[in-house]
Amino acid sequence: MHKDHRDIETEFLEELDRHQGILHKVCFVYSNTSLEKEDLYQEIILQLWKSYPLFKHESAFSTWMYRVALNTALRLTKKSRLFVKTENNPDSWYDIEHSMNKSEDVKILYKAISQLNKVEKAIVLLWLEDKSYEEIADTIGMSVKNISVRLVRIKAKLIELIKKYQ
Amino acid sequence: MKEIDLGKYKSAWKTEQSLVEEKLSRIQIQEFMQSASKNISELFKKGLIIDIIIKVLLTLSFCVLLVLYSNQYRIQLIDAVFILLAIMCTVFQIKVYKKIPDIKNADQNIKSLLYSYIDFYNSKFVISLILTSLTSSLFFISGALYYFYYKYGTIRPFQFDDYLVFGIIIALGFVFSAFVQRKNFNFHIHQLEKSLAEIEQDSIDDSKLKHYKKLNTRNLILYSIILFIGLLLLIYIIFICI
Repeated sequence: MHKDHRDIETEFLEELDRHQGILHKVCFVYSNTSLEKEDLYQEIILQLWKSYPLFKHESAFSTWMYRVALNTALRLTKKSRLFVKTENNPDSWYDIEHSMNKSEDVKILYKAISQLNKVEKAIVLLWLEDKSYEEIADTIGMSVKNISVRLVRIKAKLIELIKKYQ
Repeated sequence: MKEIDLGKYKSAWKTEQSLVEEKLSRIQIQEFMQSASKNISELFKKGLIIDIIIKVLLTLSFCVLLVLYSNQYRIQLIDAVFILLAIMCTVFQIKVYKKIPDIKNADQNIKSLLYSYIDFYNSKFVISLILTSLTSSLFFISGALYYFYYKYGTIRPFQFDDYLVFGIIIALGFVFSAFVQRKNFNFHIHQLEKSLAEIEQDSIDDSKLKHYKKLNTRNLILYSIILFIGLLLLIYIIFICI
């Protein structure tokens, strides 16, 4: 049966509502400030909405959503604020000391992840979400072998960074 | 030294309630769905649409000049060349617009999508940038032709210094516009290339990216030179030979 625009919108909103956690996790990992987070929310939701008519339900909505969200986070480039390196400026970390109502371990993990490059962030985020190597490789566009090698390196890097922030 | 157990952090991540409980309201989501994208291709699309509109207006403006300078064969000839140039540029820009990687392709894998963007910007973008920069020069030429018409009713014979002043203004308009646009888009493209290089690190070497960069610069210089030699030749043929 042919769906009209309103049906598609309702369906999309329901799906998005069910998987909002993905949105928050991607925005959390790829933002340094609340303003950046807001921008990223906006861009990801917009891209998801524009891509939704082409979503063929061949994969789970969550898998598709991860892919679009990560693609958007990696492609969203900004001169002034977004994706500015902050290693030497811990004050600019996303509200870390103030509004983050998160456990100490997550705060430390966040600080460590914020030091990774964009692709490493995508890989580590998918690993944290228990995605298989095949799924990670498929999302990033790398071979499974490369993903496993890269993950070993990223984990070693994370351990060093966590030691630093503990 | 205490060993770090990454598993502990992973389970902390998975059990972190704030990441799951944080919710955007439906109204917020709907607002975001209708917002304007800040994505590089959307910015480029907007710029291209504006350029196409200006070029269409310039074409019309040159057509009006064709009527105004009736019975002045030499000026009409120049004007006709500019009409042709504006039309050709507009057609090319429309073709480029159609080839901009679609926002709806956002579910490709990250590497393919980055490649399609970088590929586009390193092939079509350079010529498009030259044509967009040409708009300011065409705008100045059109304005100058109107000025001459209303002031003198014709174009008085040019002296060497006239050629120099007009040539410099036209060239500066072009170069400044090209410089600003290239600088702006290069900043964005560089970030995309950086992400692609991060992916390619272990698999393929990044020679493809270097090749793109070389090609991009070569094309920009080559096309700019061809364009200016063409314009100079045109002026020479019209004013000196005819």
